[in-house]
Amino acid sequence: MKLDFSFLWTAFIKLLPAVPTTINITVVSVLCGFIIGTFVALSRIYKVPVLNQISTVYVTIIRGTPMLTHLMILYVGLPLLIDGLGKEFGWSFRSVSIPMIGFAYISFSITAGAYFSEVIRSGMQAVNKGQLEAAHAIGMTTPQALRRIVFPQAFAAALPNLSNSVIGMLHGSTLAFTVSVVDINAQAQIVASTNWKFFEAYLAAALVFWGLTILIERLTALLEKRVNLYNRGGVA
Amino acid sequence: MKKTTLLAVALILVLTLAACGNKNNNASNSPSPEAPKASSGSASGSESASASTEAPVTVTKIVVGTGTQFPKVCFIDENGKLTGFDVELVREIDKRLPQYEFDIQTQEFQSLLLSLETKKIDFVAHEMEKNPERTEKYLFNNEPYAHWRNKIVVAKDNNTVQSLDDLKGKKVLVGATSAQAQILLNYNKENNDAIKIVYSSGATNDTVQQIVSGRVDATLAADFALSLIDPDGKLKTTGNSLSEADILFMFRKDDAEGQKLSDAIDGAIKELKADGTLGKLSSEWLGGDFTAEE
Repeated sequence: MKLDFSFLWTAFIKLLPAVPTTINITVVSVLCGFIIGTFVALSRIYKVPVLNQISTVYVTIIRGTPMLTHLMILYVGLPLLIDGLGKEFGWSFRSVSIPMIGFAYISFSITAGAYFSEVIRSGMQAVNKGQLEAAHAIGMTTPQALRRIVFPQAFAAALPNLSNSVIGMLHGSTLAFTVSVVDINAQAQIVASTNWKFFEAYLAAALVFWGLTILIERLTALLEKRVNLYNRGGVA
Repeated sequence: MKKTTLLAVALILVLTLAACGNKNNNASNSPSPEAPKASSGSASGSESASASTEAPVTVTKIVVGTGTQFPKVCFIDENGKLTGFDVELVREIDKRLPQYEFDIQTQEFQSLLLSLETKKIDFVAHEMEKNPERTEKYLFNNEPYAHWRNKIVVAKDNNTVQSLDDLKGKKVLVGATSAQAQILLNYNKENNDAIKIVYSSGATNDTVQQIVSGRVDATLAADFALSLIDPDGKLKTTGNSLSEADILFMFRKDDAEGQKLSDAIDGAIKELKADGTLGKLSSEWLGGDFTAEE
């Protein structure tokens, strides 16, 4: 078998229009996941009644089931739920008007939230309890202390794991094709179906993903430098 | 840092090329537009017993490769028995060819053509559609045992669509890598991308749901396959057939034994056609006679 380098290049170019879709899915799911994860982590660390129990159940269920399953259940279940409620209350909204990519956004955000919550929790717990006590001692309220003292350090501690999870979500976004959203990987299949050169097309897709991942790694490295400034240490 | 990156790229390319050289072009070119599942990757999970093509005296043993994932064509019924249109047809042919003894083996669809090439099986019976890419690499017998007609499929109450022209500006769902997608791509090439193609991965089995809910307006499907994806009859075919293909058995190319076998099978199929057995089998399994030329 010979590798067709010219088709590898053609495929690479044809994959580029699908890149925004992949990035959109990743960014939306990571941002929503981060917000969900922060709330879940906080309610678990501070054992907020009710929320704590709900959060624990959420994390075990979502982490205990595959991302693809979430997407499928949501894709099949959400329209039933919405149309059922719509009939009950006479809404004019129908599930058909949810764009396909919406299912990917919602489902992947839910998935990301569970994983991010654990990453954030570990980051928060990496910050010594004494720091919070010291902050209280100088008269800060708990929200103030969290915002000014704990979160910045927790973020620094969690950053390597966070970038891991972001890369995981980037690669996981290929599952969106299950609901007919054409991402980079799906585009590779489509591009190759005209001449059956799947190998070249998938190689091109791999290169695109690798490029995106390197980008994330670089951004993390930059961020890491910035957020670890406090940690340089004075006494050498 | 740059140097290491470059080195890594080079290394990976070399490794993939090497791996690719070893595989020797077996699996990569096995198009499968009519497979229920799109072929992706070339997993060769074929552990069939090695084919003993040569038996001593008169009866030659032939290993037939088929699958289990194609309802009504080759599948395991509720009693755990392999059956279906293609399987029963092969059994019928076996009865009429005393010089051969067929042994039917089931494999993943994706590995069937690879197994054929590596002589693990002697011919493939899996509703295989004849197309130019395949003809280049494999031998088909001459007497088709079914015809595949792709048609437009719409919701039952949709009476506005009769041809591809009626689908301009509408969304049509097709499987990525399918023969149906190719039909739409060809049409779009001549008509300014008039039809909006929605690609499906086939993973959610939601074709009926998507059409009935109005998310897409139509799909394309082989006429007999419609009853398989839509058992409740919520959809219907409409218009003339868009393309037609012969369904044949596939053999190894440039193989004298294979040619002899193919000729013998052609003879048997002609007999089956003449006495009506083939049409009966088709009606029994596929819900209609799809074996005659239109």
